[in-house]
Amino acid sequence: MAAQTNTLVTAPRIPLMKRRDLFPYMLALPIIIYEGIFVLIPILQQISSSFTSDIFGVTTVKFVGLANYNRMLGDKNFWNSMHVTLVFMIATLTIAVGAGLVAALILNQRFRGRSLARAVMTLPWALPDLPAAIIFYWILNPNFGIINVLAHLLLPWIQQNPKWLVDFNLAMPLVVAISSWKAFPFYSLVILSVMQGIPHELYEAAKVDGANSRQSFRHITLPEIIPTLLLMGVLACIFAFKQFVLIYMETGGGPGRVTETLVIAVYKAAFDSFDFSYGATIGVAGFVMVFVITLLFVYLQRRQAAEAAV
Amino acid sequence: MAEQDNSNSAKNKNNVSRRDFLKMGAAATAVAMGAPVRASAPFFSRQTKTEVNFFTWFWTEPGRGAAWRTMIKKFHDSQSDIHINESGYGENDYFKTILLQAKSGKIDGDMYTETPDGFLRMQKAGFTSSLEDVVKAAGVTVSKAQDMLRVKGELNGLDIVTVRFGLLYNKALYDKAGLSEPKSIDEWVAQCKTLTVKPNQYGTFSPHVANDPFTTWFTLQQWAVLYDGVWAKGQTPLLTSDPVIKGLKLFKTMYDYMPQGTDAATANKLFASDQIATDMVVSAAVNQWKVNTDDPNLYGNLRSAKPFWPGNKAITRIHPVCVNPQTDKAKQDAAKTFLAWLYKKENYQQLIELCLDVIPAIDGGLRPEYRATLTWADGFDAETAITVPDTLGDFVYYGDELGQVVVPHFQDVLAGNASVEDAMAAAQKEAEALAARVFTT
Repeated sequence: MAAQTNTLVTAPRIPLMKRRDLFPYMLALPIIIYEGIFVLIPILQQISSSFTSDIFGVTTVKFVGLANYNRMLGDKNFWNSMHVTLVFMIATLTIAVGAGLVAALILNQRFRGRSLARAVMTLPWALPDLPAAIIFYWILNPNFGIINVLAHLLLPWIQQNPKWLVDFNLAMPLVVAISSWKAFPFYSLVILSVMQGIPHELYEAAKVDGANSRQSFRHITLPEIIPTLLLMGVLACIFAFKQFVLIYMETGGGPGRVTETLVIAVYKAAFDSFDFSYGATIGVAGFVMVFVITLLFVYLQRRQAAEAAV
Repeated sequence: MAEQDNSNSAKNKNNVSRRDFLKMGAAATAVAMGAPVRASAPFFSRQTKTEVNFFTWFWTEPGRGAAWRTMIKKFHDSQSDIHINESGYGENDYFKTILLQAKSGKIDGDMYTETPDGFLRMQKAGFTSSLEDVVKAAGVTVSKAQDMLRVKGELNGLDIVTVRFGLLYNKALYDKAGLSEPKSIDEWVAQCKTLTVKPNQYGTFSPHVANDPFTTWFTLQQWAVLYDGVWAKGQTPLLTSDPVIKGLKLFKTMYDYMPQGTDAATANKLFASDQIATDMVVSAAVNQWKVNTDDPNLYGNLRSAKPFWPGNKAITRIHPVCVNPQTDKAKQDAAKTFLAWLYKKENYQQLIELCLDVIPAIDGGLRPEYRATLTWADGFDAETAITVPDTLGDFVYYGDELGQVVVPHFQDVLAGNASVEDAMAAAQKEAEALAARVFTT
């Protein structure tokens, strides 16, 4: 026992900072602290708030258990928002990532002015959301918007200007189009960078074997970019879910509730009605939705990695 | 080894290390900075001015902001103990921000202004205090309308601007079309039809887009009042009542003569450039068309129609100024001193004239000579006031939630997807569910 104690006492002490196994953790510490304070605590606070009743200046904060969740599940406006969010998400994902892929395929070709074309393509993405929203709001004004001139040129049989953003049938497609226009350059640039990493020899070999451009795309390009497309898909879902400025500025969730996504519903509950608890409850539902999408992505990525290993 | 150590010590004594240099530098800087502080200490000890933050949206409102700055300068010139600082946001952000700040426990104002419904929330949350001593010090008699600001009989806010809905019209456009002031709702509808020449001129406007939720609901409330209706009585929503249905049907008819899909800010610009003939607006809005217009004759051409609708009523909104009881006592006292000065008859009269307001909050607050200059105010004056709590019943605490029930259904009507009756029947069910939820908890 004495010998053991001696051994312990005489064991050389390694300074904390010199222990190599701690070094990575020390590096990660600032971001962990940041995320803890500004992300984790608010999430926990939001979850705890969803179990209370808290309407500012009307009720005092009190614990209500699952009452807000019961209300949410029976609230047809919540289900409408879920539906709208999914439609917006899928439509934006399809159009933005699809357009991004097409743009990347075009910009991957050699042609004169390619660099300029790439720079011009990034403009929508570089433009901040707010000015973009204001520009489209003016373009789409049913009375004075420039789009009315185009509409009458392209569709000479229409008698009256379409109502655009206040039309129940047009509002969602327009919001999707604007969001996709704003987002597609990002997806395009990422996909393009992956395409440029594909060895050119593969295409040359395929050409020698008699493959046409469609076959080259199907058997060389696509397998190489699929992991990136998957990632872009998840990002597109998350970006679409989070989209607030463009939707709120263009339609405010209307007309009626046809563009009222979950984020807009959270905002309306919390900051129009000052019902913070119910806003938090809808927020938790949205959090779960994004979490499930992320898990799905992780699953798909692992499955793909496993298939590649085989 | 010992020698080496000694030599190092000796060396260190002669050569200042980088660390010591920094220490000495810091000490010297501290001494240098301390010197003027000590020298100026008597100046600061003489500084007894109390700084008061006045939190309001007025600063950004055309005309009203300049009026308030003039009055505050006059107050500053009249004494040297209190200094009023500007604090606040533009109107649309302000109403949300003040409630969010209050929710977080502290607002940016030692005194602040509120809407009638916002006042009720702030009062319930403990952000108002008695201002009876201010009224006493000012030596004025406040209007009966201010009773809605009383808590246990004591005024907790002082009306600083009362606004009332009315039908404002552009007399030049009316004259050009050979029309005269409407005497009935049917006549108004017919005139709007005549005055609409799309896309250059529109008969009327009322906010209706979803990204303008506050203004849309705020104005829509008046359309039911046009038929002597209210939206709720106590805890009972009245969305299917005859006056509400008639009011919304009138709106739907008038929608054909509006710049559809246009937000209120754009419509205000259209009105400023003589492109909208009539506008159901609050009296305080007139101020903007005196300064923010391309037509220098516009202000002189504005008139308000004498009420031609059943009941002659118009929603009248009292906007109080309150003193924040959660700030320092010295600041509260300073804020009250300022308000007592402002509420003195001659100062109040000057404020109301600079703001181009028309409804006084105190007896004798409006000089007849000034009133005679307001060619646009006759209609507003002839209306009978109805308050926001009278219009919304107990839903006044849930006004925005009720608006979120009504407005989306009404947009269905505007789009032609539903009749007013069907849309309001659906809205009534939702409003009843809202009442069951909020009034039983």
